Amino acid sequence: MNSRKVNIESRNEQFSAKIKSRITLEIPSKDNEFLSKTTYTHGYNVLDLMDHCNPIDNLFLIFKGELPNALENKILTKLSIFLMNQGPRNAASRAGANAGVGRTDVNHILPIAVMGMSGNYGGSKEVENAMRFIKHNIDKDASRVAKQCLVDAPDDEEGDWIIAPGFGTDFRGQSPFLLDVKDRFIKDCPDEGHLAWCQKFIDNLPSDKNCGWRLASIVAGVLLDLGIPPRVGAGLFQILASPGALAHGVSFADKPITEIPFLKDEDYEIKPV
Amino acid sequence: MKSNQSKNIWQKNRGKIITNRGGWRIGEAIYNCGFSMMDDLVGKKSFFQTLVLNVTGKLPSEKLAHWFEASFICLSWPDSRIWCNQNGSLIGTTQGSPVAGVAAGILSADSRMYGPGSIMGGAEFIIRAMAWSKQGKTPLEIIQKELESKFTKPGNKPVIVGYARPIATGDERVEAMEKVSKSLGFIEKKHLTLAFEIHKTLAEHYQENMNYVGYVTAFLVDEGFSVNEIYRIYSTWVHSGVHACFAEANDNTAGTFLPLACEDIEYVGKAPRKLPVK
Repeated sequence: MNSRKVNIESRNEQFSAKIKSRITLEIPSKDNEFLSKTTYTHGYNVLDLMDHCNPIDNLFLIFKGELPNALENKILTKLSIFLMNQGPRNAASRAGANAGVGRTDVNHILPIAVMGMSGNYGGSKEVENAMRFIKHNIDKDASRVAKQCLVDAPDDEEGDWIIAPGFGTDFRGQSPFLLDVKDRFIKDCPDEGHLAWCQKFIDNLPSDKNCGWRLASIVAGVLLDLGIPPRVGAGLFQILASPGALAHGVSFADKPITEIPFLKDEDYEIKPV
Repeated sequence: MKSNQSKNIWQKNRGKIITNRGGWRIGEAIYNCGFSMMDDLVGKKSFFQTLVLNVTGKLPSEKLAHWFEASFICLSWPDSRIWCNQNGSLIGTTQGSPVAGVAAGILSADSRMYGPGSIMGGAEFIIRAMAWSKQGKTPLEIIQKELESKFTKPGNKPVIVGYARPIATGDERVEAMEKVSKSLGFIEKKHLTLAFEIHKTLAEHYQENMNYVGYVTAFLVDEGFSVNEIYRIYSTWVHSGVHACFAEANDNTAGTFLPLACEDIEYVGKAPRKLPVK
């Protein structure tokens, strides 16, 4: 025991004396240092942004430090509209709906819904991992990467076949809607960009087994083409997907608990231990 | 090799839940892993026995549940400088709900650096280290092999999860839990023995020590818990300390926990500029 005893010592790290921000500058008012007289986002007066920019301009500015050009604005606008409402079957909407119908404080519906979209199967973790996978492989030959993935991830599990983060089957099929969405983005994204690499990668996967696009690979390719890094991608996906999840959730907040199925005992089978 | 290219698994689960865990049979009982909650567990088993039962499906001994309870106390620090705790304080001072404050604190500790988020890395390392030890590698060779596999930013010291700690070196909780383990009559087993050998070698060569996650994961792998089970049991590990920080900040005058004036932020971004003409 004594030979295992250790001294507890501070590392004496030098912590910052102040929080730094490269995003926001607040000029204090003369008579109260806690109140802002003028506020800037990446150097632009917020009042000017309010007068002359749209929310997508401002969203891009916050994360990238510069206003988007017309094409970047167009792509991010499309991504926002695509992700904004993923319907009532989506896990985030359902988490929000359970909170809503369960009379959870309405302040909590959005954070609950966001947690419902954070997973590695259909959620923001899958988007983040797909972004890391694409970024890691973008300079490699897509057909070779696909061949290796097919060796590394054989189709031997029940459920979806995930060949690489964000790529594989989708309920053992390929969603016609998602393919249409993808085609819209392919038109706008660079010919040699990340989404284009995803297409080449998928061209080398077995289409007869429906192995190809998942929502995460589309979102990941588009975000990378916009210059968004993977560490930001997960949260940005959550922001863009939040409005619909909140809307579905809060739509149940004034409804009786009977509005959402509560399975009968015969449909809730408790297996004997 | 099994290939299942059909939708059957989704079809058979539509509108139906099949569970091994249990549930409520109205007017009959609430079942939990074969136990009747009100007859077999309430007042007869401890909260931590029930927690481990819910996570693993297996009821642990009273002794092991005591050990888990002690291990939770070790992460119940009421220090509001710690990141997860401070998030409890911030939600407290803004008059948020205690559930939001504590939930935010719990989620904050799902971190690669500390708390339950570091458990997977810690447990996987000691399992990997044991496999290397069985192949004949010495503790120093295990450390070197592990460090070689780490992606580390230039200038940063490589870190083995479970064998480093932010802010300080050494970990008082290891010694405290050693006392608990001994007082409860646990015998040290192979993963924990190897963990201490790595700890000793690491201290000699790299001036780092085993931390609390390293201790807990080695102990629990020896007790037969899987990596996922350990992560799940400890999901709420920090909640008690967050409670303390939330409560104090919430009781104090609103907005007075670590308030920031405009000049307390050091702006390092672009200078004020005009919007481009469209």
